[in-house]
Amino acid sequence: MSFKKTYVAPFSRKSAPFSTDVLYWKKLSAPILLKEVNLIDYVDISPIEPHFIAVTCSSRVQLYHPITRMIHKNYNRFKEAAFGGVFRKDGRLLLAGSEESALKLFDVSSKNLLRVFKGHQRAVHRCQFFPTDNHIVSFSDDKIVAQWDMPSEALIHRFEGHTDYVRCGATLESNPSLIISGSYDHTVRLWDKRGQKEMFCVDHGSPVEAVLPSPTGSLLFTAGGTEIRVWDCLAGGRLLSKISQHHKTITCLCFASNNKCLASASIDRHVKIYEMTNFEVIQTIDYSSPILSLGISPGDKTVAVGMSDGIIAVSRMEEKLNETEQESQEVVSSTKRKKSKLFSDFVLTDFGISEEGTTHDLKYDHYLRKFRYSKALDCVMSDVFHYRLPGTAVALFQELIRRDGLIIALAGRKGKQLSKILHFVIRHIRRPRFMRILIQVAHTLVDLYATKIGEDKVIDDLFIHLIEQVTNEVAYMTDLMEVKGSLEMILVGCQLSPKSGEEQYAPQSMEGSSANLSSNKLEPSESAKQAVVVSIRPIHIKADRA
Amino acid sequence: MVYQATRDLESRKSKYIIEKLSWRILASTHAVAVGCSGELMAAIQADSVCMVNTKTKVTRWHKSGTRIFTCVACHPHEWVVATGDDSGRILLWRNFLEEKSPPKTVFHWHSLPVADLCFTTDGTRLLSGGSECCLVRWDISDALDKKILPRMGLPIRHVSVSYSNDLAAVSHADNCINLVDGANNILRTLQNITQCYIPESPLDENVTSTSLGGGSVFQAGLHLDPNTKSLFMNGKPGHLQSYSLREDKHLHTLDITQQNYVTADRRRAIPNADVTHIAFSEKGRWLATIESLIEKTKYYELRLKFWKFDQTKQVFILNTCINWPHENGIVNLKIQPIDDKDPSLTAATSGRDKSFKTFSVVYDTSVHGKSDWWTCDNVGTYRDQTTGPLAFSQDGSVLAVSFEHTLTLWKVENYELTGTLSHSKLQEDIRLIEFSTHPTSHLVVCCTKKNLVIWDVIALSLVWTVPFEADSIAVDRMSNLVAIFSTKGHLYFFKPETPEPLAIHNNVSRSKIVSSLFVPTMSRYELRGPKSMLIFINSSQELCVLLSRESSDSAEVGTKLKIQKGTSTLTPFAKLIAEKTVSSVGSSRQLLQGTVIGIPGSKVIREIMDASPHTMPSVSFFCNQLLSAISVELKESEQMDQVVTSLQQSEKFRFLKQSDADDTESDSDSDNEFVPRKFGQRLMKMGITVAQVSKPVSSKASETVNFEVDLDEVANDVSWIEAISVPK
Repeated sequence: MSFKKTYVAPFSRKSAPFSTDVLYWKKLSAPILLKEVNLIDYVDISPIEPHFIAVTCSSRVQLYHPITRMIHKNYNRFKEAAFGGVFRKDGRLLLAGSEESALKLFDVSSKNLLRVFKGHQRAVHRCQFFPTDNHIVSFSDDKIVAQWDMPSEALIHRFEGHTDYVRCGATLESNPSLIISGSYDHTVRLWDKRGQKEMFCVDHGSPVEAVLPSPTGSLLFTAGGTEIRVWDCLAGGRLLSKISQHHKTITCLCFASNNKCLASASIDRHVKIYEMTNFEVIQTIDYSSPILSLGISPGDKTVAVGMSDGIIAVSRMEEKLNETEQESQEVVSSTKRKKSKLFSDFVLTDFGISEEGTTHDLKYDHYLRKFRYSKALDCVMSDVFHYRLPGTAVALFQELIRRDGLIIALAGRKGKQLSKILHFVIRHIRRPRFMRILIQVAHTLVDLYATKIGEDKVIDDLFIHLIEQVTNEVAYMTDLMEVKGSLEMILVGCQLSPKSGEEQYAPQSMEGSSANLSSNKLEPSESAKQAVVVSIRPIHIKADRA
Repeated sequence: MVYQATRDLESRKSKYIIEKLSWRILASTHAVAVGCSGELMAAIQADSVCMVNTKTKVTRWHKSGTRIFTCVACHPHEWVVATGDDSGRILLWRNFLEEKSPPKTVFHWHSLPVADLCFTTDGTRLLSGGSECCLVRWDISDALDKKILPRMGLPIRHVSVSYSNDLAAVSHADNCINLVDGANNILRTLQNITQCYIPESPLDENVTSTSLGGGSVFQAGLHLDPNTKSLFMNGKPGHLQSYSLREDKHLHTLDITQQNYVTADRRRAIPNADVTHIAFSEKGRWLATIESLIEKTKYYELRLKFWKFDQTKQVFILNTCINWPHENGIVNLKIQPIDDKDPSLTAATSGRDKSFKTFSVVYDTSVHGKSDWWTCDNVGTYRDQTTGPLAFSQDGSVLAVSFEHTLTLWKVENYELTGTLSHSKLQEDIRLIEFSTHPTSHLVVCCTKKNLVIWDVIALSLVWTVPFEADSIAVDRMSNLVAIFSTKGHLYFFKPETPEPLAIHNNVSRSKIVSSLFVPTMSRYELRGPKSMLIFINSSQELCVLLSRESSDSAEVGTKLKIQKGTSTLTPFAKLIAEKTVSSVGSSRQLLQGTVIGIPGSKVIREIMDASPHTMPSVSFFCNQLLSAISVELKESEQMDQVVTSLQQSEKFRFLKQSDADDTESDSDSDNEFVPRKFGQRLMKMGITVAQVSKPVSSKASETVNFEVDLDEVANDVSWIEAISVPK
């Protein structure tokens, strides 16, 4: 029976297991970079196959093929910079705004300029098609949101109300008569083109860079500054949530995974993907430069990112194709193996006697086999084990304890030999995974060398240091126990109090607020004021009824 | 203690020497040796050795200090004697008959007492072994030239060399023999059931209840491996052994601790880590083990390991190792009896740190492929009370954990405490818990130190209780039969819904029952339905099998009536079986309506031939009848007719005249004293009044049986219990 090596327990690093979402996004291939001349203003992906990527950059809109990444077409009928080229739902028309304050409509396949919409005073940065009728909407720097009729190039209505540049906007799939616009005046406004009036206005708190309504129209995401805000459209623009994961201005928002995820891009060079249920980040993708625009094709097959240094990064979701490739490779290699075996049958003429491989023993195991415990311990007291592999040294200590050889190994040491062991114990005794063993080692050391205190100054100092470490650890543990105790009390309190029943909570909150008020006179906050208004209303109604 | 010497000497017919050796010779096979072609004899006694020339009758005594001799060997053809002593020193004596202080060569490598010495047949080498588990091969001419074969397993007890001199057999303390060739290679290992307890020295015959690992004998108990249908139990320290009941064969050993066996020191025995608990999942995909290294109640190591069965390699592979799942040791370990692949599979441990923990599998798919491991899910406590054993219900939905005298019920899916069961009169700690099986799976069998209590989990009430001191419980998974062993070694069978015992066997074991288990018999006859046999192991390391009467031949149903009617045309063996069957009718409640196919007599013989020996009654028991059964000339057609008609009659008989059958049965049974007693008529009032009773069983619940009353009347019938004692 062979000698079983000393088992060094591996300790895994604490890491949460990957969720399926993370794994899904890990399948994105490394991006392929395409260089453009100027910063990429807007990226839009065609809703129909093969999902061309429309990149608006300097004075043209270019169409890239998502797989070959070659330029498929380009539309350069602009005198000045073009902005925000978008596809219609059927992918046949392309509309882009421009610095020259006109909107231009192209036929995607023939590259023909079909219409030019003139009427804005200043540059038009974003424009949108309406999902059902032949109308379009434009968002301009002259603070106006305009609705146009496509066939007649006629301006139907000008929605006025914004007090600064309107730099983003959207139309709603579920309700084709609504327009959402976001402006640098911090507000996002919802317009109804039927009554040609403003439905509501919400304050984002910083210049709005992107708006994105959910497909059902119930939620509205607005991005500006470092925040994404989520609004409830049905409740008249109630703020639901604030997502603050970027540390620089967010420039773009879009949906991914068939509207199950939200993606945001920012100047901080990250694209973040959020879970829609709890708005938690499930994946962060890093890029080389500040991101200005982002497009994700249906089914997440292509992710295109436009950056400020004129680079477009196109990543593709790797598909199962690879697996079949691997399989075919395996088949190839196995046939090769078979062949080589065949050949080896011919070649093999005489018998080979394989030398019995003796597994290489580690040095300390070698000494353990010889029952030379002291030597074995010396082996693991080198710097390598001190700093890099303390687990191995502790495993040896454990083995020595098991073999009842700890006293033998530790006894009769002097000077440097002893100080090394003491150093090791002092260094690692506070680590929870070694504590159990090293406490025993420390006990044995104290038992063995207590009588020799005073003989060597260095050793004495080390023992004092050990005592300090232990006292510190005890104090630390006491603190932790106190925290644990107080936490448990809170948890028990939570369990005891009824789950629903706000009356019970009310006095507590009242006490808390009164304490606050007494200490420093605070004005009620904005939200508090709103809350008061909301709570008063039903009382009025009741009074009316009474 | 001169048996060995006298026996040896008697064979040599030298009465003269026997009288001279009236002092005490060591009672060991190693104490006397004969060599030099039979001319030389040597014996040892404490610190002196006696050499005798058997031809000239010259006897010499020699002493060697104060060391105690442990073994002696004589050279095959020279006048040389080797002795080993308790300090591990080997002395080679020469010229001992002539000189007063003869020349001695010292061979000292062993640090522990030398267990056995053996010369090779050519006389050039000397083999020695001891508790170091090493075989040392000495060159007689050179004390420094030795070859050592290390780590042979467990302490060596005996060493012997073949006549051809090419093989040495080394016997170990764990019932294992290694065959070693001249180049110190182990050629083969002969191994049967491994002994769990190893005495300190070969002379120590007193079996105590502690094993070398420090725990009690077979402390992990008996378990059935669902993969191989073999029995799993403790083997060598730190190992589990698998033993096939069907073939009576040791199948394999599983190294659980994966540590080197630490041999004893000169100063003291060093404990080795050993397996204390095992649990299998339902289909055998997972095995959970707990190993601990204990010395004087202090725990040095404690590990919970999960093993996954590899279908291709057909072995268990270590999956997860959890250090220190509980402080101060573990009381019990169980795995939820649900499908293995269910992602909610849970394992539960109860520890001595007043808590119980549940573990579950984490399935992970990562870039590196699929993996799974076990992780702690939940820790449960109850009022800072000490945790006792725990059990899962049959469907795995409820976990019952005992805390001192309280039984707590937890819903497994969300670890919600659903109920607590305790009674003001039952204030003793719960020691054993088992859930009953279908159709009474809502009942829990609990044993405290002095009481047996049955709780109803659904109604949360006490069903019944009796004063009973139990060692071990086993629940049959095929029926809801429960077997319980009392501390006095009696075995009772009962169904949990009623306090009436179905059968009682007295004194089934001479020592404490360590563990018991119902094992499904692998009957080849599907018609006979699932049956179980009871297996138990006691602290004297005897593995016993209690067979159900129903595992006899199917002809029994038909032949029974014949005997009762006085016709005896069947073979004597069939008659014998019929007699036995009649006596067991009372205990076997559900008789099966088997159809008889083929010739009963030949089937009997075939079944006897096919069955493994330990599942059979002793040969002497049925030898005569069997032989005469074979010798009787059978007229086959006639035989068949008889069986068929008797079968039909018996069916009618059973269904129409049940009461009649009971009468005749007791009549014909007057000589056989094994009669299951009807305790229903002798129900006695017990001191405990039951507070909450919800079911109509209340009439029984308020009353109880005192088992002790009738123990003298109920005679024992252990003829069917065959003890397979582990050879030492």
